Parts: sequence; C-alpha cells; structure tokens
Amino acid sequence: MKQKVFFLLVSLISLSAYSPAQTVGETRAFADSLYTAGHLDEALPAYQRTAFFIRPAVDAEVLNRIADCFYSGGDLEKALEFYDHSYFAQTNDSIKKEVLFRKSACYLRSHNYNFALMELLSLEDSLSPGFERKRNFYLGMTWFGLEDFSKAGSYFEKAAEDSVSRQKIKAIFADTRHFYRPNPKLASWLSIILPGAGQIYSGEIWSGINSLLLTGFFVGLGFYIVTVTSPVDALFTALPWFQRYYQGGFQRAADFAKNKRTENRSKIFNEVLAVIASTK
Amino acid sequence: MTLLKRFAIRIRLGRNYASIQLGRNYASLQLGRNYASLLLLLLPGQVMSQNIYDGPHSREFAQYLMQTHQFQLANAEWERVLFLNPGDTLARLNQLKSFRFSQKPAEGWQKLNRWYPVGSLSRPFSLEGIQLTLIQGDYTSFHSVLERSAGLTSTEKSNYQLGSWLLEGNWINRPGKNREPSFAIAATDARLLDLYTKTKNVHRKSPAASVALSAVVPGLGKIYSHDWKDGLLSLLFVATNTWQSYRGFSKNGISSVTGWIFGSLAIGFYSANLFGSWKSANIYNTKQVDLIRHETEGVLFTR
Repeated sequence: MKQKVFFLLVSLISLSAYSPAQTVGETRAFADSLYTAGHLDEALPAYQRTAFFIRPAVDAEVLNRIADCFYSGGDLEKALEFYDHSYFAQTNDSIKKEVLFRKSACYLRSHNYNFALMELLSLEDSLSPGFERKRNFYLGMTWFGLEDFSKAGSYFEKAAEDSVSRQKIKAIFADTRHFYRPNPKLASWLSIILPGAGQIYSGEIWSGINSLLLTGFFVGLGFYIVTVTSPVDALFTALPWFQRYYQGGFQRAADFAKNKRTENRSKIFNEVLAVIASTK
Repeated sequence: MTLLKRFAIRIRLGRNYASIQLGRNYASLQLGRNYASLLLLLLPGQVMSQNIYDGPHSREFAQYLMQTHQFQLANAEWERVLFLNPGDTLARLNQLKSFRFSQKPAEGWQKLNRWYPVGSLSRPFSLEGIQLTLIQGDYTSFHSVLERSAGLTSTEKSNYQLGSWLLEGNWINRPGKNREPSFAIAATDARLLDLYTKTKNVHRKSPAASVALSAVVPGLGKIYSHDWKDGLLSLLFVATNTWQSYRGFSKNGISSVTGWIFGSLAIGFYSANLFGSWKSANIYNTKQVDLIRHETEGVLFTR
C-alpha cells in the first residue's frame, strides 16, 4: 500500500510538471508557424531562443532556419555562420548539399564569386540529376559574376532541362563579345579624339551631341579670338572653358559605357533566367 | 545495507509488464505496461516544460544576444526582463547599453531620465549617461549628468569635461589665450591632453578676412583658406574675362558685344569667387574641428 501511494505521488508530480508554459517545444512550434507564414524576421528570435535553450543539444533544422532568417533579412555574414553550423550538424546528405547551395547563394549575393566557386566545387562529382542541374545553374551564375562568359554559357546550357532551352542559351552565349560592349576605354578614347563620340558609342546620343556642341563652341570661340585679337588671348579666355568640358566629356563617356555594359549584362542574365525558369 | 543499495531504483521492461524495484529488499511494484510507459514518458517532460520566457531564462538569453552583438533583439529581451522585474538595475544598465550599441542613444537617454529623473546617479549609470549624451551631442544634458554623478572622481569628471569641450568644437572660435578652459589643468588623460595641445596649434580662418582678400585679388581668399587649386582657377577666370572685356570696350567702345559678354562673365565669376572664399574658410574650420572630434570620439567612446 505504501509503495502504491509513493508511486502515485510520483505520477501526480510528473503530471503537474507537464503543465502549460512557454516551453522550448511551444517556442519552436511558434517559430515554425511564423516561418511557414513568411514572417522570418519575427521567427528569428524564437528560433534563436530555441537553439539557445536546447544546448548542449543541437537541432540542425533550427540552425538552418536561423540561417534562412538572417539571409532573408540581408545579414549574409550571420547567415553564412549559421549555414556552417547547420552543415556540420546535419546527418542527411541531401540536406547537407542544400546547405552548401545556400551558402553559395550567400556568396553570390555578396559578390564573393570565388568563395561561391569553392563551395560548389566541394560538392562530390556524381550527383543526382536534380542536384547536378542545380550545381550547373549556380556555376553558371558564378562564372557570369567572374566575367568568364563562355564558361557561364556552357554551365547554363547544362542546367537547361530540354534541348529547346539549351539551343536558346547557346544562341545567347554564341558571341561573347557583346558582353564586353560598350567598352569604357574605347568610349573614353573616342571622346578624346572627337568630343561626344564616346557618349554616342555608349548609346547616350543627346549627351554626345551636347558635348560636341559645347566643346565645338569653345573651339570656335578660341579661333574667333585668335583672329580678332591674339592666340594668347584665346589661350587665357577660351581654353579654360574648353578644357573643363573636354575633360569632363571623356570621363563621362567612360562612365556611361560602364553603366551601359552593366545594364546589358543584367538584361542577358534575366533572359537566361527566363529560359531556365520556363523549363520548370 | 548501504544507502545506495537501499534506495537504488531498478526499472525492468518486459513484454507485457514494467516493474520498478526500489532497493534490494525494500519495495517493488509491478505495473501494467501502459501505466509504466506513461510514467516514464512524463519524466523527460519535466525537463522540456521549463518556461523559457521567465525572468532568469530571459536574462540568460539577453546576455547571449549582447555577446553576439544582436543589440536590437537584446533590447527587446531586456525589456521583458524589466517587465518581470522592474527594479533590476543590472538589466536597466544593459538595456541602456543595448540602446547605445544599436545607435539609439536618444531612446536610451529618455529611459535613463524616466528611471532616474532627479537625484544622484551611481557610477555605472553616470558613465552610461555621459556616453549617451555625448554621442547625441547634447552637451547641456551632459553637464547635468556630470553634476548628478556620485561615483566619479574629480579627475574623471575633468577628463570628461575636456572630452566634451573637444567634441563640441567651439574652441576654434576662441582665439589664443581664451582657449584654455579650467578643467584642462585638472585633466589627466594623456590622449585628451595631446588633442587639447593640438587645438592650440590650429589657426582659425576668418570668413570675413577671406572675402576681403578675394575682393582685392580674386582667389586670394581661397588661397588663404588653403584651397590653392580653386583660388588659382578663380584668379584665372576672373582675370581673363575681365581682360577680354576691357579689350572689347577699349576697341569698340560701349557698344562692344564682346565687351559686354566677357564683362558679364567676369562679374559672375567675381561674385562666385567672393561667395566661394567665404565658404572655403568655413569648410577649413569645420575640417579642423572634425579631425579633433573624430580622434576624441575614438578616446571617449571605446571606454
């Protein structure tokens, strides 16, 4: 009888201990619901709390989601840190590979293309078809960022699922010269030789005409002053104006060309994404 | 029988039963499978059912967030700690720090005033109040904190006064011997004293003098403000346009088109040169103050 009472007592104490509270499990469930609903900035503290209070145990999925929250919030450094923790805590190979891809995404987003390359090349050679395509796609983006467009093209081709898409991508990357146009150095030299020519070459027609007219005006003014007074007068009067607009002209031509080239590359990249997305 | 043997608990799980034996001869109870399983299941539940949002857990988590430099999240956590225990001075201090580190000194200052509107401030709160007011550039509030601080020595107060004097930057408007505040004598911080010595060697540029110089010789005011390049360009532009205007008028008289065009350009450049000279003197003075201010911030705000 005494023993039965004793054990009954133990049972009751255990039951009462299992009472409603903001426990680790509830916090995790709350965080999961926020994560699923897309409120990652609110899910982050709840996940961090969970990870903190289950120590020394480690939950790889929680770490992964913390990393996702940081990635979504733009804190790529923290995201990388937690993707690393998650990677080493994972036991599932497929999830480990996914984590590596996410790390690569962090590096790509922060323009650290060489680090992204390191992560992608650390994957094993033989992957399932899905992972292989994903790796090819990421490698394509990485080489695109590193400005090796022929390599980028070949990887994007491999990432395409069907032959029609592959043909389209092949056509985009057939002539890689257009990735380097307009050339800022060439634009600069053109404007040095003929003011305004560099801007027109870069596609800024009105800016080019404006530059041409302004510098032309001061050249004309200089000649007029030479005929009316003397070359020394022209040197001191018209030359400072001419110099200011001439120098500004070819510097702006180079800037225009650089911006235009970046714009062109973005357009091509979006085209490639559209082709690959259309196959899914 | 040893204590260990008397109170040892042995749990045996069979196919259709579970038995718990307490001690060797002391007590044993054979339970049905379901009841025993439920009992065993509830034991870990006790561990997992801890409320991790209570005071001690929140404090522990807040400290972790501070260590990992997540100050905004830490702030929210300290708020929870203080809600559960409003008189927790350590939590108050940490919350003020989290405001400071998350670039919200004004909010931290408001909190401090709400908690301690009047009376003396202890040393940690005085130091925090000093940091919050100096970061904001609120020198009036800084002086009030200094007056209320109970835990600072007079030497420390002198050091902070010197630091605020350097940060404020008004020293540049006080020429020569007037640039010797009394607390500079009592201050002992070598880095601040070194900066104070540097201020003595800084010569303020008068905007009025700069304009006057440029009025006489275009560009000279800018050269006086150490802006050589712009000064020479101003001189060149004004001089050449004036010369051309003179040439035009002397050749063709008042009806000279060239004379009027270059004359207008010369007047335009001359006016711009006067305004530019005034601006360049102010820019020079601001640059000197900023140099000293940045170095002072490095000394004061790393404490």
